[in-house]
Formats: sequence, C-alpha cells, structure tokens
Amino acid sequence: MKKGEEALTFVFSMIFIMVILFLFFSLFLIDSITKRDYAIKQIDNGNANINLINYLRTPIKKDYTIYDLIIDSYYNEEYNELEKETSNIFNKIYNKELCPLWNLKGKVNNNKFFEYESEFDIRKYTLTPNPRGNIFLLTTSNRIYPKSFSLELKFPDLDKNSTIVLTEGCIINE
Amino acid sequence: MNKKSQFDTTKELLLWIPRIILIVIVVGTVFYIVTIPIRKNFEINELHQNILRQRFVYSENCMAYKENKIYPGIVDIKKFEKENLEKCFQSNKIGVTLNLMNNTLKTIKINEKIAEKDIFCIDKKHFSCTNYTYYVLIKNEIIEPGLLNIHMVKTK
Repeated sequence: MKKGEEALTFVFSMIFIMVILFLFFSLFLIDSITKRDYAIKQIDNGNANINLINYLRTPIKKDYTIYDLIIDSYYNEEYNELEKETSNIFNKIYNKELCPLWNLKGKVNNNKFFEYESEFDIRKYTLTPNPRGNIFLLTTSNRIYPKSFSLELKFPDLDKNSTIVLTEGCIINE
Repeated sequence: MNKKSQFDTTKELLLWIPRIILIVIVVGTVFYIVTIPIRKNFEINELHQNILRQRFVYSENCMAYKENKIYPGIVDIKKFEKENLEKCFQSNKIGVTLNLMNNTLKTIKINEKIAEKDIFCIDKKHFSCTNYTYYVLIKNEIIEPGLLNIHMVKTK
C-alpha cells in the first residue's frame, strides 16, 4: 500500500470511529432523556368513602344521627347545629399537615342547600376556575390531590333527589 | 499484492463504512424500541399501602364490625388487638402504627422493627411512607365516634 493510500484509509478510519462513537453517545443520551419513573399512588374505590359514610351515621343523641339532622335542617331551614357538628368532625379528621382541604356540600334537585369547608382555601393555590379538577401546587415537592365522593340521600319526599358530596385534599410528596 | 488489488481492497473497505453505519443505526433503533417498555419503572409502594390500609377498615377479619352484615368503617373494639391485626395484615415488609383515638388513645404496632423507622420517612429514596386518618365509629357498649390513624412505613 502506498503512503498516500495508507493516509487516506487512516483518515476514513478515524472518521468512521468518530461516527460510531457519536452514534453510541447519542443513543445513551436519548436513552437517559426518555427514562422516566412512573408512580401509581392511589386508586379510587368507587364513590364510597368511609369518612363520609361515618359522618352520616354519627350519633348525636339516641336514635338521631347527622343524617337525620341534615333532613331536619333542610325542612326547618335551620343550619347552625349542622354547621357546628360538621366543622367539629371534619376539622378533626383533616389536619393541616396531611389533608388541609375538605369541602362538604348538600344538594337537593341539583340546588345546593348547604356547603361547609376547611379554613384552608384552595382557591388561593389554583390558577384555573375549576379548583376540584386539578392538582394544586403548594411547594416544589408537595401537591394536593383533591378527591370527591358522593352519596345519595333519601328524603321523606320521594320526589326530592338529594346528594351529599365530600371533597378531600391530601398532600402527596412527589 | 499488485497495485490494482490494493486499490480494490481499499475501495472495498471504504464501501463498507456506510454499510456498517447503517447496521449500527438499525441495531441501535431496534435496541431503543425494544427497551422502551423495560425502561418504565412503576412505583407502586403507595398504591400497595393504600390497598392494605383499606383492608383494616373494610374486612371483618381485621376490625370491621359484623352483626348480620359487615359495617365497613365501624371498628369493633374487640378486634382491635395486636394478634388479630397481625393475622389479618399478612405482610412482613411493611411496618404499621395504628392509633385509635376517642376518649383514650390506643396504639398497636405491626412489624414493630420497621414501624419504628418512621423517623426516616423524610428519606424518600429509601423509605416509602403513608399516613391517613379515618373517621370511624367505635363499637364498644355503645357506638361512639373516633379517629383511626394508620401510618405505614416500607423500606424500598
């Protein structure tokens, strides 16, 4: 092989090696960019919620539960006791460190007849007008995931279609 | 080797370069496509704990009160015993601290050695922890409201 040919082959070999190295480097780079950790943190178990069910069956006096109080409050249009009992119960369950948000709403034929919520105002942390459909950013690593649960309530008037909706928002560390 | 054959060899070598590059690209692409599903790392520790936590309040073998039917969320105080809860929990990889609060506080620890590592929960790389409080009704002589806090710790 002539000197000139050898030099030419050497140059092409170098280019070839560089191309190969570049390709492998690119592959590893792409690989590292697209590598993701996925996490499934919770599941919804229908619309039932132990806290909501137990709230409704909490006894206030003998044979008289919160459920009865809701119905009486609706017909008497007197909500003070209901508000007091509700806030008492939910402020105990949802503490500021773990689950700062709760909101309880009662509806009859789609018309709201009471709504109580935590002191923690989620609207300050949301950028959209629909605060219950989003994930709220509190800090860089903590997020609040709101979940809603609903139950149908039976009223003495059978034509009344009533539901009670509880929204809870607990902090999840990312 | 004469000049012509030397020239042919060099030419052949040079012709192989684009072929090899093409092979590398093809092999690389295949490797990349094949490994896409493998690269997904699913973290299900919290989901696992979520399901196990629900077992405590929903299952009659754990602490759900039963009289003709099962009442999920109503804690039968007789079932709130360490031995019974260990039997129903059936996992030795997760440490659990259960605090049942009404007028008094009753605490039970399952897999105590792991449960006591809860102070390390700030280390999210090595520990997976969940903490949730249920509003429960406690069936003793009468039914009274209370709180059940379940704190779970798992080493990753």
